[in-house]
Amino acid sequence: MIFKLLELKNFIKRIGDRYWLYVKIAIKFISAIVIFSLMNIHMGYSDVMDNTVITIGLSVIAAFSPDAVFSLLAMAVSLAHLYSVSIVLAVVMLVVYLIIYFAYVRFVPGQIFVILAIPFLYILGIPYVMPLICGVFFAPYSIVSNVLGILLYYVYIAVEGAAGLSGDKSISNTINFFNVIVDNIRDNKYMLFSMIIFAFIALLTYIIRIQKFNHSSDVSILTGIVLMLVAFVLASSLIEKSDNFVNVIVGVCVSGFIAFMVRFFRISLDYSGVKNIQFEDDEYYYYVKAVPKLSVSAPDKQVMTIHAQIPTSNTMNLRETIEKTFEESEHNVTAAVEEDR
Amino acid sequence: MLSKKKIKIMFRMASYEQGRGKKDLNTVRFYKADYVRLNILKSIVCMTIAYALVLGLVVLYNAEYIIKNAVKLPYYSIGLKVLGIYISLVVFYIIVSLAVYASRYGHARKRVQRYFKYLKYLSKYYDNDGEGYEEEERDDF
Repeated sequence: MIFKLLELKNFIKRIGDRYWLYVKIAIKFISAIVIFSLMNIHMGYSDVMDNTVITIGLSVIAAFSPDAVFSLLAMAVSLAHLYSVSIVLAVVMLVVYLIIYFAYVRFVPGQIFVILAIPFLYILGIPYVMPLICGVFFAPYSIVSNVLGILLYYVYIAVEGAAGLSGDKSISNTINFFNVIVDNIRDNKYMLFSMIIFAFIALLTYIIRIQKFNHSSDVSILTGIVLMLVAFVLASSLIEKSDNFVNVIVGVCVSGFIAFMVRFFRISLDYSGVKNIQFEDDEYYYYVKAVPKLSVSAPDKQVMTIHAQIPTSNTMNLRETIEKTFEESEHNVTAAVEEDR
Repeated sequence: MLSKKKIKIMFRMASYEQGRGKKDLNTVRFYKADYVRLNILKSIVCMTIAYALVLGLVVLYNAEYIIKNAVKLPYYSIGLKVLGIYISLVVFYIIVSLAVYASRYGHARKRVQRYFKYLKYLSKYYDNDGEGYEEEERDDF
């Protein structure tokens, strides 16, 4: 089973090495379609944005642009939806994005993807994968990204709830809107609990991962899964007063599985396969193509089982054959000697 | 004549220059103290902007109360609290920025030193007509 997975890993690496540019574009395009479609389903206040052609067009732009443009497009789409409800709400959301950027993302630009991914993982029911992946792949500062991601998700939820109250679009009504959103977030104990648990799990996973024993990454993910299961089942019963633990259990288990797969395949955001570099000196122009080596080569033969030979009528008895051959050769030598005489 | 070792080294240098090296070489242009000080200054400016935006949101949230009690508000104590929180945040950001940018400068300098080692090797290679000094190659920048 492990060898099959390793072969699959090498196959994926081979495809990735050869066609990395096209694979990256395809992944970005599919991710963009999923993210923009989820936004249209859950927000969907703007008729202009809630349009298949616009969604596909934006996904194409996101696929062919640098990664930063992708995150900017996602934020712009959310602002466009909110603008349809209320200008002040859109401005408030823009201010929230700016605060997150100036206070945190400016120092670690790559973490914007962690922050923006968490709301969408919540919609898919698997937000628990993010603290596990952050603990395995990133440093402890990713705790802040997890907390901000959860905050962003609950801001979206509060805005969705408040948007249903919209009627008169006067400034006083919009300020009430804003107050309703802030009160929803401030009084949300489950959000606070989630932030604490995610931060703790990300830190614990990181601490266990850096220990010097075999399979430390796997042990860290397993520990994270168990703790999250216990914590969120307790939170569901004590804070949300809900008996429905199935969603939590399934979400945590699926998140754990995804975290294991990501760690196994070591999908890295900085992955670059084949490198094509050009340079020159006084004598030559050099066009160099560097192809990464594979870590495990596929076996040429598959050994299924090894068992003792069961004698049949065709089976050669090696000992008898050797003895017979020696006897014959001795006899031939003796006969040759006698002939010589 | 083509030298495999020379091509390997030139490839690694070109790969570094076109990748991480762009940022590292810009970083190492500064002295460490200047680089750290410049980035601390940028951090303080960004933190001030973020703080002003948060204050704006707080004012918006309490707009009704502020407008009703504009005359009665204890502006002095509110101002002290705002300033106190701001100074605490500035100190926190200075400490974090100092640690982060000093560390980044150190790592960038190590990579650039390795890059210059390869450059020196190439220079000796050309000076000696194809015989550079033997140096243990690093696997990666």
